[in-house]
Parts: sequence; structure tokens; C-alpha cells
Amino acid sequence: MAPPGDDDGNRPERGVDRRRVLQLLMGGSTAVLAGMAAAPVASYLRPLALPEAEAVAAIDDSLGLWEARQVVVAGRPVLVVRTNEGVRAFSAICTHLGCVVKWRKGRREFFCPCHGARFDAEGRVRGGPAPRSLARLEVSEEPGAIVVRKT
Amino acid sequence: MSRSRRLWQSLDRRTGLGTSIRRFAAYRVPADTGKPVSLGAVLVFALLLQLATGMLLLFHFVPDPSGAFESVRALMRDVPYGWLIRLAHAHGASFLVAIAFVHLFHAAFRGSYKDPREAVWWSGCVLFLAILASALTGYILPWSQTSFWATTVVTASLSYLPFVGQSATEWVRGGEWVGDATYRRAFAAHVALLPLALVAGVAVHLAWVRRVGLAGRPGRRADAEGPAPIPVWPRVALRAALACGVFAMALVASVVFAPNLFFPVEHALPADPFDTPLNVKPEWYFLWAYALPRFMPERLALIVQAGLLLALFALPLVDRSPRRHPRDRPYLTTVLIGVVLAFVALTIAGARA
Ligand code: FES
Repeated sequence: MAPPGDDDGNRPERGVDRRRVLQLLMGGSTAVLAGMAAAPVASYLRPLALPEAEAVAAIDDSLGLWEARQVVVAGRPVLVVRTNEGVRAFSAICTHLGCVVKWRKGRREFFCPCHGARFDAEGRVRGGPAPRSLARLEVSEEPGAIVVRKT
Repeated sequence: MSRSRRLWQSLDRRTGLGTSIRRFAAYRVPADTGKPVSLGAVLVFALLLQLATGMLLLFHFVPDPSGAFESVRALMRDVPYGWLIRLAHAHGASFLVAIAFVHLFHAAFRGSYKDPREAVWWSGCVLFLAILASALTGYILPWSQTSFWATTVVTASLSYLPFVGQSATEWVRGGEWVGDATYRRAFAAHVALLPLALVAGVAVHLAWVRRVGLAGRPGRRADAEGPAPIPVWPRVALRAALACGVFAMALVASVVFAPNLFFPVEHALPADPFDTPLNVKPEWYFLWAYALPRFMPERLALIVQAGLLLALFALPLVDRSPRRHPRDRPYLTTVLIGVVLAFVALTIAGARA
């Protein structure tokens, strides 16, 4: 349909104007509505914080020199190892891409099965692609037990 | 007029079914177009097969980390023909990815992405990524050792992205670590989001192919006229059907004679978040990405992958000359051959590592 008042010199332009405003209004409100719908969806998909798991673990103190044992602290694997300087506890999560490292008694090092990262008994990188040392946890020797704590 | 004929005609009058079939059969394509049509047809066929087998799997599969592994085992052992459905789905995924690779490179070598087919190319790229995403998320669902650790490694590699790294990893995992939330994300994507996207994407891709026409074999000169177009029926359609038949036979043969073709032994062990097995490897089509960090720092490997992705989409914008024949675009052809060779070499390196 022709815009009203096509015969008039001024009014068609106003018709175009009006159409433009309407278009902007429609586009704008669609965008606002889409945004209003997207915001809750984005929050909905955000990762949820998990309840804190038990952050203390204990093993009996029968751990021999250069031996290691795996315990679970705060839901994650931790390796407790007795070195000649005392007992140490490290997160067993490889700092490269998150695989679980294993203790190799013969070589006195932690070894990652995924891409071969190696860490010495102090958790420092010895070789392979790992960018950082293994995370260290607090460990204390109590009568009859070794206690590991995540602080 | 026979009764069945009358029935058909009355149906046709109301639905236009026969007319659409006739119109499709008469649709003209370049006479020398052969392989891409067949490859495309096989892709559609393979995708439909994945949808069908996937839906059937849902009747027995328990989509939860606590029950998934056991339910897959039961499916393989106790459910009649469960092994067939499950292996057809798992092997079918590998076949689908392989054929998608060929389809993509074929289009690239032929320059089928040039004006006016850029949108077809882009829709194809999106489909390709959706297929890879389906394969990746599907690999998680049996919740085996390889599922768990491949997912851990892949999601952790995102943490090397500049600035957003850590939050990207956590967003994909649905939490700090790979676990139940990760599983549910993968499941939702694999059985709802991605299949819908794929079906819609294929519809769009084909509609656009139909609109701009198939490219056909490139001539040495831009204006070279190919042979006169021919209707889809019978030659093109039959050749496509034959290709689908060959595909189906290859799939069944691999399922029956090499059921473990695509599974490492660790895939037969349930996920254990406290013990990483040796030899955690992704499926063959991600081995190249798995091998990349062996030759360069993690960050650079990510940048290379992002660059490849960008290049994939940018191809029609970079190479804009109307010439399509590989020998008329020596640089691009060399680069493409280089990419294929690098892909093969990295895949071998990844498999050997
Ligand atoms: S995850 Fe340990 S070396 Fe890569």
C-alpha cells in the first residue's frame, strides 16, 4: 500500500521516517528481548561450585624410605613420599595437562604417563612438557600416622 | 486405473510428493561431477545411520557416569544385536569423519568454494566442525579410561589459551575437574544440540548447493565450458546409491571382522579419576592435534590450531580468482598438499608416540 499522502511533497518523507523508526524499534526490542533471554541462559550454563570435599587424609606411618602412597585429599589424588629429608606430599595432578603422575621408586621421581613429564622427589620439573612443579601440600608426622592437609 | 495408482495420485495431489521426486530427478548437474555428489550422498547416508543407531542405543544406554560403562558392557553382551548397533555407531563415527575429511579436501582442491559458492563452503565448514564435536562428545559417553583421560587432556589444553584459559577449561568441564557435570554437558550436546544442528545444517547446505548449482570439474581456463549438464536420474543418483552401498558394506565388514579397530585396550576399562593409564590417546582423527605439542610449546600448538580453523573459513576470501583448476593456482595447491602431508605425518607421529 502507498504511504498516506503520497500526493503531498512533505508527507512521504515522513512516511519513510516513520517506517525507519518502526524498523529501529522492532530491531531494538528484538535485540533487547534476545539479550534478556540470553542472560539467564548464560548464568545457567556457568559451572557450579562443588561442595568442599574432606581436605585432610591420613595414612599409617609404615611408609618406607623412597616409598610413596596415593591418598585422596579434597577429592583429588595426592602422593605422599618419604625422602631422606622427611615426608612430602604433592598433588598427583600433572601440571602439564592434568593426568595423574606415578612414583617411580627406582628413579626417585614422579612420572606422568600422558606425555612423559618427570618431577624429582621435591616435585620440581626434571623433564618433559610440564610447565610448573607439582603442587605441594602440608604434611605432618604424628604418632602412628602421617597426616596430609590441604589449606 | 489400478487402485494403487489412484491412491498414489490422490496422495500426490495433496502432498506434491511425486512432483518433488520428479523435479529432483530432473534437476541438472554437471555431467562430470561424479565424486562430490557421491561423497555428499554417502555423508548424508552415514549421518542418517548415526541418527538411527544413536536413537536405538538410547533404549538401553544409561547416560550417567555411574551406570554408563556397565550399560555399554551389557549392550555388547546381553542385548540381542546390541553389539551391532553399538559398533555400527562407534565405527560409523570414524567413517563419517574420514569421508567428511575427503569431501572437504576435495572441495578445496577443486576450488568449489569460489564465487558464488562461498556460503556452501562455510556451511560445510560448520557441518565439519559439528561432526568433529559430535565425535568428541560421543567418545566421552561410555565413561571408560580413555573417555575420561582423553577428555581431561583435551579440556586441560584449553587452559593454555591466553587470558581466558582457566575459565574456558572450567566452562567446558562444568567445574574445576572432569566429572559428572562434564558428562552431562557432553551428553546434552551429543544427543540433542549437535544432532539438531547437523540436521538443520545439512538442510541448509543442500538448499544452498541446489541454489547455486554444483561446481563440476574445473577446466584449465576460467571460462572453459564443461560438458552439458545431465539430470540427476538415473546416472548420478545410481552412482550415489552405489557409493552408499559400498560404504554400508565397508562399515559392516569393519564391525564384523575388526570390532576393535578403533578401540585401544584402555577403552575396555571403566573410568578411574585416580589412575591414568599409559597410552592415553585420542581417536585417530585427533592424533595430529595430540602430536602437535611434541614439536612446539603448548601455546603455539593452540595458535596453530586456531590458525587452521581461521584459514578454513577464510579460504574463499583469500583465494578469489575465478580459476579453479589446481594447476592454475600453484601456491594454494602446494599449501593444500602440504597440509595433507603434515596431517598424515602428525597422525603417524601421534600414533607412534
Ligand atoms: S599431562 Fe602429564 S605430561 Fe602431559
